[in-house]
Amino acid sequence: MRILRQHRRFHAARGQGLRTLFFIAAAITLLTLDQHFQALHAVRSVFSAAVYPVEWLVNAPSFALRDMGTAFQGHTKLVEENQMLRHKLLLARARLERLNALRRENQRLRTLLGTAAELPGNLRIASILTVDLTPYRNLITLNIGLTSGIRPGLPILDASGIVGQIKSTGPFSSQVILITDPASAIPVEIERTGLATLAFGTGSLNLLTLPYLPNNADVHRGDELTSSGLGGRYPRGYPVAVITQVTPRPGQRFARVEARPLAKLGREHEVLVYTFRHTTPTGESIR
Amino acid sequence: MRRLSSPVAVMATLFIALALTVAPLPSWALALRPLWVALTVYYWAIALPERFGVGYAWLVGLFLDVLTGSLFGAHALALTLVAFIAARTHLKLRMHPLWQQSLTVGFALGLYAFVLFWIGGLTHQMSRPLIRFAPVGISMLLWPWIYGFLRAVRRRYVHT
Repeated sequence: MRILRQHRRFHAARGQGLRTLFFIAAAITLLTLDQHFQALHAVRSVFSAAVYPVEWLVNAPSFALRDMGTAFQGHTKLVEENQMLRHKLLLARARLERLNALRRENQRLRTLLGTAAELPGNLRIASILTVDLTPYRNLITLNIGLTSGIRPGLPILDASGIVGQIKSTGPFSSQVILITDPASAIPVEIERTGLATLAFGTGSLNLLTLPYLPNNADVHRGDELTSSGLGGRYPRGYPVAVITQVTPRPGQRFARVEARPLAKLGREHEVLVYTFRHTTPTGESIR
Repeated sequence: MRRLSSPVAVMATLFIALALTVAPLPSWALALRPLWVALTVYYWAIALPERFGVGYAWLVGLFLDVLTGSLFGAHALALTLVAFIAARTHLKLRMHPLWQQSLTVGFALGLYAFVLFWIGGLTHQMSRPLIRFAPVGISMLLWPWIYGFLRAVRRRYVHT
């Protein structure tokens, strides 16, 4: 028996060549399918369910630390915080009331105009599981997936701006591609002038570039960029970034324009998934 | 001492390697993260060549793809090559001292990093090429300890 095993071990490499070729071919097939046809959502989500324990395990210590931090905070500090939150709640309620009034008025006007009011989208809160996947991509993983109605393409927001969009989903988790990922482009407009352009990610969490603005474009440092809603992916009119630098480049066709995202990318624990309906490119705005 | 059956021990080490691959790190250390999964796959491919073949490496690669959000099949392809090199060299490798083994490991992992870099380039994710190979160097330096640890696991839990 032992000799047989030794023998098998000695010749283990012999059959590997053919098998290796087979698995290389299989891997290349998968790569092609994923890159050109995006046909593998179902397979991916099965694997994603299988690796969920890994994601959970990795994040368990940081979640536990956060909970412990809350538990050990001093009583006075908690009271203070409570007071502050109460005030904030009051303010927020007041604002909400005003918003409700506006919504009612809006609805009334729409009815008057004869257009059917579209259903407003839903906002869902999601926790961020992992942020730093690889240094060359800006992806985050969320703790909700297909079973919560999350599907690829949905925009992700936080309290101050657009964060990104869902890239792929598993049953219990989903991946988000941030607007600063090098593979991301978001249609924006300059709020002051309405000039529409595209903002590209750079891989750095606090930098977007706007490569298609001509040298004589009316854009200044401090201008706010909002999403234009073109393309139908992101809701219209939500803040995206603020211009930090405009450098005209004489002799070149476009100026060098840089912007800083307004969303707190990589610094938040929770984000919002906006499950609105993809209808027209000029769909409902969230405001 | 009751011994675990070998698949459980191998799977447990791979699970730990996958977890270490996505564990949070400070941002300066991200580009230097050792290639935990490739090292583990390499070890099992030289230690149990008749049981841990390219097929398992391929499967582990798919899990790694989903976990890191890369193109489906990228890590599968790279790990298949790592396991193949390991299977081809495992008999010679046993003769060499550990630091010489490190060189072979460096070769296999260099190919691994190159394949991933190349697939990244095909999908237009440009990055500075040199920094991409930093983890290979770190992994080579770590190899003697990884080898020692996994050998201890194997001697304790895996039937031969």
